[in-house]
Amino acid sequence: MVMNNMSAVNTRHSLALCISIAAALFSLFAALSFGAAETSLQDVLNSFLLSNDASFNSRIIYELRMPRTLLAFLAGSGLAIAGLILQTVTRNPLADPYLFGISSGASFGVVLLMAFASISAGFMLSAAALLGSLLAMSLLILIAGRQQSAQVELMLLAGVALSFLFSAFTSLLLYWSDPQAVAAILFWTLGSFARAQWATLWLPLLVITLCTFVMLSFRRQLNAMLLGDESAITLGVRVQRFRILMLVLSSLITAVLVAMCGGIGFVGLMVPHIVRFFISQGTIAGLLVTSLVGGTFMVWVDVLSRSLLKNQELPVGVITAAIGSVFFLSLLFFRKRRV
Amino acid sequence: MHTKSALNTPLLNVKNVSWGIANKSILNNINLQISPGKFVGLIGPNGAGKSSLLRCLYRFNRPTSGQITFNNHDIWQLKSEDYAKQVAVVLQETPSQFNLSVFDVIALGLTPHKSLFSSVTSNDKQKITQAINTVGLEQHSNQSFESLSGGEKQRALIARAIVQQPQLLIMDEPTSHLDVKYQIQVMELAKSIGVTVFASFHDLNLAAAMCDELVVIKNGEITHTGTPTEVLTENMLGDVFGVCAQVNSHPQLSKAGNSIPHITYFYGYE
Repeated sequence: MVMNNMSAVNTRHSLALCISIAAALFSLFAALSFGAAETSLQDVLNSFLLSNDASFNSRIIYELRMPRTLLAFLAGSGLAIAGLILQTVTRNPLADPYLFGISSGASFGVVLLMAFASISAGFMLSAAALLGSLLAMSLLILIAGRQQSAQVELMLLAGVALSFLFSAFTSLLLYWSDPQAVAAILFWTLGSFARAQWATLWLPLLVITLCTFVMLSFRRQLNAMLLGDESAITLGVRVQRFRILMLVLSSLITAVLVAMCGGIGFVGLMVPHIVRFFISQGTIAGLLVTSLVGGTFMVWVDVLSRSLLKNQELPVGVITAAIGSVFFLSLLFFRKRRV
Repeated sequence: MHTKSALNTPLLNVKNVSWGIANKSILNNINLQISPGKFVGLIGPNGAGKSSLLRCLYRFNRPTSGQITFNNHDIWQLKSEDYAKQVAVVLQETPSQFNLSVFDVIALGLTPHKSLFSSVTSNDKQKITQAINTVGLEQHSNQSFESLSGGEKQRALIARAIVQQPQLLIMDEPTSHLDVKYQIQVMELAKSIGVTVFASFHDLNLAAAMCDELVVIKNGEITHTGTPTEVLTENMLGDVFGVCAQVNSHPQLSKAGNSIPHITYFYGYE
């Protein structure tokens, strides 16, 4: 009987994994045919199959849309993983990469650069965002790292406080900046994949792949954390150190992504919850499905942002926040009904 | 050949252990030995330090002075995975709102035995399946842990401890919010897996029936140790627990053939 149940669970997990892999591959492919220039799936196929196809459409697909779609996928899966890690180690269903001040730190870095050096694009901007979020992360770890008891509460409170602190500095700088810089900063904070290039794609790819690998290898420890600090200790997990390590991992993912695509909220919060409705997060399949669903979701959000308005791009952050808050409210509604 | 010495050396030895928090002393100079193969109960009124003592034993609290040894090794010198391979713990309440399946929770018993990159082998799976069968959760292995009843959760956690293959099982009031039937069921289950057990009890009659030895703690100090018959006296119940009670013999004998004390409480004596 147990064997039957177990194989049923395995089948369900394998099925979920297969479906999400298929959906991810299809989305990555199909998303390439959407955008301002009229292209068909046939064009997309051509740009893959004909190596010497130098047509206009093929170049749009290869040079603009492909890095952009890949970045969207990486961002979605990275944020979903970071959210899953943080929700697990804090046992807080509301935890998400943006709760810990990491994105406010990045915004602060960007605004500082724009306000004082008048640089509003390019590599320097990403570097400033990365430095800003690393600063926020270091402060958080400095505060919560050595704490023995009530580490989770301290982490959450310190994260929220840091986030407000950096927002205050950012607002102050914005208040003194000229309107053009304010518009540029606003667009940056709302998130976009428009800056994706083949040349810079390696960084998020590397960071997210590495962090996913580490998370998969630590999956037992992550599960143990779900049962509480005391239980985790009795299973041989060094809870404080492990939590800081996981915080560093998810901060790294977030910092890199915020630096490249700006602030994109709610994905890290939402996707792990959606996946948990269907399968247990405790297995390799559960973790991989979370990452794939996050990526797929973000690819379609990017498609929406490119195609909802003619000749104009909607900021990605606006779409994820809109979908996210509706999702979140319905989650609360159904929770209430279940109790 | 080694039986005699093995029986004489305690599995767990607590020497002059004190522990406190924020200048307030909770445990004072605790001395305690647990011999291999015994089922030892820890009893005492609320706030006496039962949980604090157990937390010192499973390395959640680090004693401010004194030493705890397991098989003659200082437990704070051992690596945390190595200690977890030998000592499993079942706690009173284990909240989880994140949809882990029962199978996943039980499989967590493998955690200290597995290196980071190793996967679950068919041998591990068999171990987990056996543990699930032992605690009778065959029908539920697929369900989410959160959807189990209190008694089923405790049984799942005992299954996790079985998978952990410890020499010592520590339990902190694992049955205190369960119905009588499940209190008995969970404790008999813990007894049946054949490892040394150190458990705190709320229900003194249950403790008397299950334990080979009892340890009484009051205000952070151990006041009595011995067999249930030696420890559970009317005087002790008055001094430590502040109740008026009569101690008789339970109509049943223990498995070892000893008589089991049974407490009848009297009311209206404040």
